[in-house]
Amino acid sequence: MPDLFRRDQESDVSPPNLADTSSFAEHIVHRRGKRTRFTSVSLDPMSIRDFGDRLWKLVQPRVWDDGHVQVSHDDLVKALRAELQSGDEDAKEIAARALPRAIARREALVDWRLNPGSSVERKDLLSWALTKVRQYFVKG
Amino acid sequence: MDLFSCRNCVQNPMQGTTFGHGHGYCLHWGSVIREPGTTTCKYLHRKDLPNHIVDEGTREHAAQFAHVAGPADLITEKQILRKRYSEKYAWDSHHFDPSLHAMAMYHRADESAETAGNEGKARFIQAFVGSNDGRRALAYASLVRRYMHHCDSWTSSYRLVLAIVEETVSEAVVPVAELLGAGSEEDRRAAAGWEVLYCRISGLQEFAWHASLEVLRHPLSSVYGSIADMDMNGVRSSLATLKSSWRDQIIAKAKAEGEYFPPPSPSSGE
Repeated sequence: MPDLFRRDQESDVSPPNLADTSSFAEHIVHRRGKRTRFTSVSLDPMSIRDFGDRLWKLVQPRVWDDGHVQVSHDDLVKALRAELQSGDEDAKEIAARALPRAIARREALVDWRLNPGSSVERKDLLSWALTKVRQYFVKG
Repeated sequence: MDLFSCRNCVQNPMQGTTFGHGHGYCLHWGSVIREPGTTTCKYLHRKDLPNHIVDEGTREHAAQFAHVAGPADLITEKQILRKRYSEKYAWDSHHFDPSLHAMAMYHRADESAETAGNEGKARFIQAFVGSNDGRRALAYASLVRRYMHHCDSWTSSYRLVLAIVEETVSEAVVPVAELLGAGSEEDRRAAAGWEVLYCRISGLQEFAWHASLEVLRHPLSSVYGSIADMDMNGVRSSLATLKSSWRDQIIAKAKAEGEYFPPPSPSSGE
């Protein structure tokens, strides 16, 4: 399995927004905002070098062991192509923009299966998620 | 985050996320932008998608930067000092950039719009049309979109949009020295080509929104297969067959609404 990288802030990896409902394409073009339920990673650290000061590497075995879903670059591209062929018009519009971007950045995704339960208030979801996803990244 | 930076904003017309080195120029703040990839503001108007489709994301972004009355750092959210353009300083410091200069000159015309009138601004914008230089192509589509947004109407911009229709399928060439990112020159050129295409298409879609013109709501609807194959030539040749229909419907709309080359007003000089 090839390594996957992320560029982000020096101190931390940006947390996912677990309340978000974006599709893959909406996430890639940030249609609904900056934070979505996914985290973008890349096969090629050079292709994302402008995306933050710190290079992080995804600890893939831990992601799998804990039941999160890793969407490979090839699967992501396939999904975007499928959306271009069979989505509704708005979904196709977004997928059209997302596909060249995903290819250029050699993008893959992590779809987090984090369960905050009922004890975490909605306003605290981001900070809660931050503490959870940090363990899946090491400095690259 | 680059999609929320000045690089992806129509107010900084001559740079994109895939090309355009050096400083940018923000027409909203009248300021040289030193680091266009890491700055932003609450007035972001994205190049890559029509405003009405990404409204949710841009509203969230605007709220995040609502406390900053100027250009800001994308990460720290701190305000950045505005920097006025000086042609003399540019020459004296050996940093003269023709693209940046052009935008600063446009801004001066923009600032004097009350005396020059909208017609003056529109004329200036038209000076950017008809070039296969990717920077000027991106600038034209961006300037038209900004103009249309400010006018908040389709009537003042339909002639400018007709020129976008004519140029939508034209290849836009970016000098290799201006290309950003990693990868082969071919890949970076391709990325720049998609960026210019989508800025133009988004301009047509914003026009369709203002004019309630169904035919341009989804201009790419017949080329999704070619996009899935990343076949830019296929996209261009298919869109070329639609150009005359788009043109005719825009003109028909303008005629029906009495906006098609109306008699000049006494002050317009025509």
